[in-house]
Amino acid sequence: MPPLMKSTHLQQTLILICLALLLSACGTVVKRVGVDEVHDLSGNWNDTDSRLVSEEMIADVLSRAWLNNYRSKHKGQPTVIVGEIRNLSHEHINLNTFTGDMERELINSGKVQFVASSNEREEVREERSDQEFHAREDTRKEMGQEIGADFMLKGSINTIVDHEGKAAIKYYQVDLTLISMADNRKVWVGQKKIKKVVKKGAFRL
Amino acid sequence: MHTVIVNWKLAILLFTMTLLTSGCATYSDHIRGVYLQLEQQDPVAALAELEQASGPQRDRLAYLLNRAMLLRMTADYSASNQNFEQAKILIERLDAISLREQTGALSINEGLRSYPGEPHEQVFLHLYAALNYLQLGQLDSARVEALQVNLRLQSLAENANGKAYNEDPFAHYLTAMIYEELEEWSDAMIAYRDAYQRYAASLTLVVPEFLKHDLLRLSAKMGLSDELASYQETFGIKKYLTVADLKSQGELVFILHNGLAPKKEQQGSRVVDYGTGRLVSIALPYYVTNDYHAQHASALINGQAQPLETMTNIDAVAKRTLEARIPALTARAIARAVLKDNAARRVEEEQGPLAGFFVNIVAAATEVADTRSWWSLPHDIQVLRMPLSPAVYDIRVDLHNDDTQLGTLDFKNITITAGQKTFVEQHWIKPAP
Repeated sequence: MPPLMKSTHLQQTLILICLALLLSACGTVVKRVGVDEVHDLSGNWNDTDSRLVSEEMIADVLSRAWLNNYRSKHKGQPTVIVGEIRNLSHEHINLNTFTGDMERELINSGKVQFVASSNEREEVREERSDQEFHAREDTRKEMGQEIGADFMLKGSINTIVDHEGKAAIKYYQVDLTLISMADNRKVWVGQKKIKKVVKKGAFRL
Repeated sequence: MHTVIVNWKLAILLFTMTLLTSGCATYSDHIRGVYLQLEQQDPVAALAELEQASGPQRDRLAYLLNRAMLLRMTADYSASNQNFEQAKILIERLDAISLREQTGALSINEGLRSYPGEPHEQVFLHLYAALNYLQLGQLDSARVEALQVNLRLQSLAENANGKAYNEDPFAHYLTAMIYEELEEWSDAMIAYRDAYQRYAASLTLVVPEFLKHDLLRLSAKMGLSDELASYQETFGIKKYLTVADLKSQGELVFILHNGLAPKKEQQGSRVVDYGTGRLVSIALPYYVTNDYHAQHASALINGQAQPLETMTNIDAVAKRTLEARIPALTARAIARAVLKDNAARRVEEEQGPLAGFFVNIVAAATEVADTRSWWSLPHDIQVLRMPLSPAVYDIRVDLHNDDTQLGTLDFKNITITAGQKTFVEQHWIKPAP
């Protein structure tokens, strides 16, 4: 091989090494997508899971016998409150969005009355006591006029994870129970399961 | 014409040399300022210093872990956990291999690879996140971390580097306390047992006295009478507090994060490559124990001194984990050195001794060990767990080396509530003389 060709190879190699070193990830790209579109990135619990589970479970709870039983004994609609939903899974799940999704489904169904949660109630009570001193009398709201809930919705999110190398199976189980406030009876028990197979890529940039 | 080519090549070589050597100070060199601030007992200034020296993207994990730790030293537990969460996502991403980084690591140095964290660092991330959640009073979130620790330990056991990390008993002990606080008795019992087996098998740690009582209490609660009897015989303890007894009392869990983890430094050596018979220079990382910790600590409560017990020795764990990786690191370093040596020889043949000399300089300057680490972990973790009647307490902690008093820490108005654990934590770094 003539010396000049050899040195050309060397130059190319050096340039390639320099380029490889200098090239790093390109700029951030942002694309707006519809909120209903499903995008699974990490395989973790996401907005789609939260929405699907709440829609299905609330549709189930509203189609069961307890609602008709209540209506046959009482006038009007039952009042429901969402109690504690415990995260017993292996992921940090934003329970506020999940509870929010369920509240929205319940209220928008028009089949039940809905009362504010304990945190929200505290804030409303503070505002009401503030009105006692500062609001005009004809607009002032009285204390002791709150509607007590008839039923409380409680539940938990559990997971089982099985993994081997780069593949994992994530199994989510959401259990919800509707409890009668008057006598602690469980009037409805619902369960929704989600199974995901997550395969991680072997290579990255 | 010939002169022009030579000059052009020299220019490329010089450019490459400047480019590469600029990034060739080791990671330890970059963080010296942060150490100095910590020696002055000033985590706020250390944090500011660290943020100034955030380093390249490939060092991001080390940055996030150390930042999270400095944030918790300043008692900003939420911000600390945000950093830990980012670190977790990064670890997941770095699990995949980057061919670009591999090429850099195999031809230039290991530091060009994104830092994925040592196996023990990946476990302590969850433990410190759990401790942050306990400080924030978010018990369910601490439980999430306990579950993630188990997943992490399982996946480490599957991989060759992780095997070296002999599951740390403290991981199991902390998760046991979280389960017990949530009254998940069977999970707590299993985790206490796991911790006990590891303490009993350890060559450097002893079974903490309070763990013996935990095992007695839980096995009685679970109705495991044979196991209870065997623990009573092994430990020689007849009397213990039952779960019901403990419920009427409160508990203090005092955690001392003692000193700083060992520092990774580089060590150069000349070894013979058996393939070519040539003598090549390589650089490898090794841990140097930091002298920022106290050997013993005891807490003065109600006028009585209670010794703290060493739950984990991170100094020893880190050294053991790195030791197991040294053979692979050495093999790669030798291969890299031979590659660089070959390049230098070729250049010398083609361009003359001056060009060869330059390439040799570049090769030597770029051979630096990867000294990135989660250096702000403590040297060890010491714990005192004791039942106390519900009341408000003042606690004084003495730190000493044999007979020398190193310092005292005062904690005023610690409220112990019936049926609950009160977690009190302190990072302590021995002041510079």
